[in-house]
Amino acid sequence: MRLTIVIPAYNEGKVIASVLKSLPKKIKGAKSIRTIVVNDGSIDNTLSEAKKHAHHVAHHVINLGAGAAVITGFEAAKKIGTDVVVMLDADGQHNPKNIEKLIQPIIKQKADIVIGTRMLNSKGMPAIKVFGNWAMNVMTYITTGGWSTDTQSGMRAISRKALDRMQLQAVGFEYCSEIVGEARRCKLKMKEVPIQTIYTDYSKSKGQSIINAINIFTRLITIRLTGKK
Amino acid sequence: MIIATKIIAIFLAVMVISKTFYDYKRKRESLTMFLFWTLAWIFIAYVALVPGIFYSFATKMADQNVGTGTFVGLAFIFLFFITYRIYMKAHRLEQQIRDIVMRIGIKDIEEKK
Repeated sequence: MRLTIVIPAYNEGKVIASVLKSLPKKIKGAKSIRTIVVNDGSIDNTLSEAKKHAHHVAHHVINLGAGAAVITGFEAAKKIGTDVVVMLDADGQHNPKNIEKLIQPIIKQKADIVIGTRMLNSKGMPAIKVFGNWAMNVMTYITTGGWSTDTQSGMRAISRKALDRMQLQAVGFEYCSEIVGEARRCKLKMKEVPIQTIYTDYSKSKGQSIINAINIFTRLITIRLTGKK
Repeated sequence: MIIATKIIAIFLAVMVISKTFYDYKRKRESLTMFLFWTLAWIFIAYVALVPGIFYSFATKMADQNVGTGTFVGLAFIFLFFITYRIYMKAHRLEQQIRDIVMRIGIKDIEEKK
C-alpha cells in the first residue's frame, strides 16, 4: 500500500520543517510513504523549507484557500500514484503517531474515509473551539446531511476509491464539511478514530476564527444550492 | 436631499475621472476607455445637476409625459443587468484563474507510469 501524506501550508515557514521531520519513516501496512506539501501562495519561507524536507512540493503562485490546496494535494497524490492519502495540518497540531491507527480501517477495507476526531477526547481544547466545532458539525449536517463528531478536523485518511469518486469544489475551509457531505453522496464508508491534538501557542493562533464559521456556512449553502460541477 | 444627490454625483464623477486618468497615465488603461469613462461620468454629473434636461428629452422622444418612476425603474433594470454580467464574468475569471494556478501547481510533480 502506497501512502501519501498531503500537507496544505500557508505561511507556515516557522514550523513546516519540524512537522515534516516528525513524520514516521515506516508505518505498519505502508509499502512506501511520500510527502506532498502544497504551498498555497505563502509569502514567507514555506516554499523553500518544504522543498528541503518534502518529497514533492506543489506550489500555488497565489493564495487560493485551504480547500483549493487540498484539491491540488489530492491531484498531486493521484499523479505520483497512491493508494491512501493522509491529510495533516501544517501548524504541527497533529501527532504523526496517529497516522498508523488512522489508516488501519482503510487497509482492512472497513472504511474509505477516516476522520481523526479531536472531540471524543477534547481535553485541552479551548472551550470556544469545542463550541465552534459542535456548531460546525450541526451546520455540516444541515447543509450536507453528513455527520461526524469532528467535521473540521484536518487529520483524515482517504482511500484511492474515495479520491476518485469525490467531486470537491470548495476552495476555503468549507472543504472539511464538503468531504463529509461527499462521503454521504458517494456512499463511501466513513469511520472516526480519536486523535490527540498538540496545542501550542502557535497552533492555537493558526486555527479558524468563529467569525469564519459564518463564511463557511454561507459557502456550504451556496454549494448545496448550485449543485456539483 | 437634491443638493446631497448633486454633491455625491459630482464627488463620484471627480473620483472616477481622476482614477481613470491616473490609470491612463500609467498605461493601465487605453485612451478609448479613458475617454469613455470620462464622458460617461460627465454625463452622469450633468444629469444630476440639471435633471430637467432628462425629462424634456424623454418627453420629446416618447411624445408624451414620462414620470420619474419610469426612469428609476429603467435605471434599476439596467443596473441589475450590468451587475449580473459583471458578477458572471468575475466568477468565470476567478474559476479560470483557480484552475490555471492549480494546474501549474502540480506541473512539476512527476507522473508515476
